[in-house]
Amino acid sequence: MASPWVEDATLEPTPGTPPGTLKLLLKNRVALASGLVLLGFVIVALFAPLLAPHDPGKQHPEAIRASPFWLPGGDIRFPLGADSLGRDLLSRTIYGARVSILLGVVVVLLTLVMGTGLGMPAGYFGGWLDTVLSRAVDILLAFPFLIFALAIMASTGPNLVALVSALAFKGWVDFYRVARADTLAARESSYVTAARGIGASTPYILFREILPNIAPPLIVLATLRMAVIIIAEASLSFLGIGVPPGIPAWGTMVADGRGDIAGAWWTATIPGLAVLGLVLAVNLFGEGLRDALDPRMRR
Amino acid sequence: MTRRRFLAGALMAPALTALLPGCSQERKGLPSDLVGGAVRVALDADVETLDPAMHRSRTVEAVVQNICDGLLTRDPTMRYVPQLATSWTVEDEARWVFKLRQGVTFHNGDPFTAEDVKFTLDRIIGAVPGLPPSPRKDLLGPVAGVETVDPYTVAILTEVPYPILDKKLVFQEIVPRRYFENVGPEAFARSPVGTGPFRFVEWQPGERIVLERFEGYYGGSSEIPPVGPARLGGVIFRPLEEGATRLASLEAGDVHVVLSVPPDQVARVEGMPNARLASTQGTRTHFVGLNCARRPFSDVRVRQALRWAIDPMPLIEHFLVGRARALPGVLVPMSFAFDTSLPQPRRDLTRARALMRRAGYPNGLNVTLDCEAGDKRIAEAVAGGMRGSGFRVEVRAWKRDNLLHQLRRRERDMFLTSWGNASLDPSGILPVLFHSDGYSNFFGYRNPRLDRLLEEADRSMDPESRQEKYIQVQRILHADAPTCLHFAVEELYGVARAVKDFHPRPDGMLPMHDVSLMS
Amino acid sequence: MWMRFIGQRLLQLIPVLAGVSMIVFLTMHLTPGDPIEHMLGQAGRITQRQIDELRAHYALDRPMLVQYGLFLKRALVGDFGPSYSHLGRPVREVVAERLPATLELTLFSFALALALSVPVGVLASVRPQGLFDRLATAGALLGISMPGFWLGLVLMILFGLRLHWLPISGRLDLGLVLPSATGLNSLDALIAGDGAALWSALRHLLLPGLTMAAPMAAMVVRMVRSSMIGVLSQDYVQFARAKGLPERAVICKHALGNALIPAVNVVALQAGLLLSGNMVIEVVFQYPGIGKLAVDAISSADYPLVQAIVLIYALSYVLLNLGADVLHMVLDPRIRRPQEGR
Repeated sequence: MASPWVEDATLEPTPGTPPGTLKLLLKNRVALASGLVLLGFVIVALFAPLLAPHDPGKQHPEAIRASPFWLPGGDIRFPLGADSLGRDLLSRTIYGARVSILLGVVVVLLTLVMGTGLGMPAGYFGGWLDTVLSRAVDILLAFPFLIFALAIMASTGPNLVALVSALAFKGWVDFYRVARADTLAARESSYVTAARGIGASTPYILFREILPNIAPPLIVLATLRMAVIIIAEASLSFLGIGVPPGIPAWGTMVADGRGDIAGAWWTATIPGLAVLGLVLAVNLFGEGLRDALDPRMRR
Repeated sequence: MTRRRFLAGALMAPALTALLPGCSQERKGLPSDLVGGAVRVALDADVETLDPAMHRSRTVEAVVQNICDGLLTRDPTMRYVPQLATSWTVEDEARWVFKLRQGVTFHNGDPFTAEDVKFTLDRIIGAVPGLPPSPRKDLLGPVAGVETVDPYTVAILTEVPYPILDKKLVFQEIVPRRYFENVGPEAFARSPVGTGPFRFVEWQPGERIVLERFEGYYGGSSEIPPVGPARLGGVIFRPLEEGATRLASLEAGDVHVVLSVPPDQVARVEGMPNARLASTQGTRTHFVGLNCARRPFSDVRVRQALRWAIDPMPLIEHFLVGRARALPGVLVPMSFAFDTSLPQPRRDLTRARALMRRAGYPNGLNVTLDCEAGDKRIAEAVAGGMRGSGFRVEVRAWKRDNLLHQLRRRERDMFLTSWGNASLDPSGILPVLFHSDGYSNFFGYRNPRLDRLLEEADRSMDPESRQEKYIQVQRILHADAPTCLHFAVEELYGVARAVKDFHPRPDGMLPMHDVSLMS
Repeated sequence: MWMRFIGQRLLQLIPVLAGVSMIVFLTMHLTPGDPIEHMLGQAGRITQRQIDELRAHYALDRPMLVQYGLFLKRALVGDFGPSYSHLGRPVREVVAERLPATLELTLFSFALALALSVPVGVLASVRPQGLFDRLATAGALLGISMPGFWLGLVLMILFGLRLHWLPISGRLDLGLVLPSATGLNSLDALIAGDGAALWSALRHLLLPGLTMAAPMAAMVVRMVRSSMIGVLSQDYVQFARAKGLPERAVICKHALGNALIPAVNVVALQAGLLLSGNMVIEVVFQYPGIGKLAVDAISSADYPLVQAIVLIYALSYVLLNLGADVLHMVLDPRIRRPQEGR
């Protein structure tokens, strides 16, 4: 579950956000397009009740396994078809965006705060805190994420809080490493030495000097982690131990549709496509963000 | 260079695993006529053991019954016929004397004698020191002990008069005592020996179980023709838990028989050029159970209201594509003492609402329907069928043992579950579910009159008296409604056209002795 | 010096494994699912006394610390106890039966991923921003954005159910015979010289293998590509070109070796991901390996089995990292001292 971009982010920590970042970002057409798509997903999620043609939980006996409208037997009333209980696929897919985006944001924020909150002191003070945390990180990394998530979810039953904990369990490690390494480097830099020289207190240095400067790579990492979390949540829901059954979630929908792959294959593939679309948009946007923040890292 | 070294290292690893203990398995080569003349069956669940006494799984039983015979068995119409026993009598109500077939040998050459029957049954009731009792003990019934009267006669003693002992013997298969004692329980479970038409060849867990024809077979029950060695060269079982995967293998010709065709895929099987659908009524009843020990379902009016609120048709006709039937109670029509006078379940919202008003819920009720993860779709269909009835239902899915755990502690109010009654006798399902001390009485249902009737029926050796009592029990249960929405699903099999004489059975067993394969 | 480095790292293994075992032990024991319940299934009249006896037999009634101690003591000799969900059979046996399957799948996916990604990455780097490069980059992005369970299903539908080109379950054709040596069917087929069996084994591995390989291949493509681009712009490469060497020799002999060095770490990282992605994919394809075993074991609260499998995964991950570090040291003449901190 560790993000492969961690290596890059520690290459050359640039203090602060370079000027012209926004302009660079906007000039990058791919990043712009993906940002718009992302915005689209968010809007769909926010306005789901208005956009969805049907109640996502309502079963329509006449529409059981209805085909999408472009296939023979399809009905425009159920544009993407319906599942084995006759629930409209389009409405469920729209509502599914809520869960994915909300959980993604919450978990990423949580892990960002945790990771930074632990990484900065570890990098700045070093010592036993650093050693203890590094050991803990080693242990966590060796632990297969899925097993921990499975164990938690299997024991508590369907439960959103447990799901968030399971997803956040290993997620903070990447933020921790970046925050720690960047803080370590920043500690020796000129602006921090200067601040110390004029007698600034440690909290001041950490929050007002270092944090704003290590923020950009952390934010890039956050977008890229979000992609990982979205896939992780979908995988857990697919295994039946993610989002509780009443709430429409893409992973659950794929699992539900699995028995129909020989006939009504769209019930399993379309929700998965939604995951792919969202994750693709997040990844592209994150990369655009990273490229805009440091053109020297452009691949 | 680098890449080459990498790949070389990667290839080394598997060779090293050969050194790891337990990684290399004994696999014999299969004779070619076995492979060509073997029927391949896709099971719907995995097999944990091949020891006839140490499981509670129909899948295991179906496989094992090809390897080991019992004293009695059933034909495809569920008629009881003698198998390893030839005749029996009951002496003073608690002593059954069975005459055994002579000249039968086990796969390893040992002769079949009364000793083996005694050992098998003793092991099940826990009378063999050093071996744990069998989880199938209660399936056998109140057996006190077994005596070997002579090499081909056994006497089975029951603790109390037990009218259906002979019928219960179809669920137990005989194992060879000497072989078992030599190899021990673990090895026996991996490599069983019996008197059945097929002998065990190999088992790769999760992948396949291979059986081959036993040429020295005594022929089988004389009442189920043909009598003689099996016609097939062998049988190969593969567990495939996903319905879509099973059907794909049938279509591709990888297997000849698949179990549990999902009801909505029936049309697909019927459309296959090389296969056909075979179906039969099942013996497992699914139902919604209600917790009678606490509110809201402690009030019988609410329970009855729920029964009137449920429309079984969306579930049966749409979701199960008509491949099931709604039942008035937990017994299936094939059962002994099935009460044909009970009305078919139907929806009546007026009565439901009136009952709810009288019970003090004029605005309806929010309830949660708990179910196993595997039944989630059915539960959702049930919940969907209750829209507009005043009951607002939310579905909650659990892992199977989690749910069972909570049900035993009566922590759930409304739950979807099922109970299989392969014996087709009410004593196999009514006491365990509805007697006050019933082990699976998840409903907290207590009715002393019902208890008495069940106990009397259990002890009575007169079939008419038993029938009368069981009918009374069904009527009481219908009025009291601790359960509702009962339905039994058809057993659906996909069978390749090349397979002859395969008969689907309500008990889900798969005897392959009479089956043949056209080339 | 070598041995010291390796020995040091192996020592670091121990607290990691201990930590992992503790975590899994705790989480499993906090599960309310009752292993005794599952062992008896939906069995009938079992008395409370029988339940208590079984519980005592498996030491489930002793305090947690005692149980943990017992677990550690036995684990050190490879005894992980009985598997509750497999009717009390030794965990070690249950795992050993299914380990070769996962091993075969993982190795196959690894090899497939490398075989696909390295050439693609190299070719893409030769002409940056060219058509091939753009396609490769897009493909790589797709590879890391696809949920594994979805890709698996799509491949099943397309190549299994629609085109009927590949099987979607099992490891070997049902009718085939294969004497076992290692338990890895493709290897056994090679050893036995059985072409039909080899073909069958590979066909069965292809779909789950592709699904598992996709994310790793995607990452490696990107890594190799960027690494190669970097190397190709170096002076010594320009020099080799100036000498008039054919392009292919320039790439293969001079550039590739150096470019692949940083890729080793990424490959190791990705291989670790293979292990975790393994579980979902084994469930999707119903593949009889330890990933599926773990998922089933957790839902049955089969503590001993879960603990054993988690330790196996953890051990593999740590060994993989160690292997990557060693390889890195071997390949890169610049690094001869073990590095501090990660």
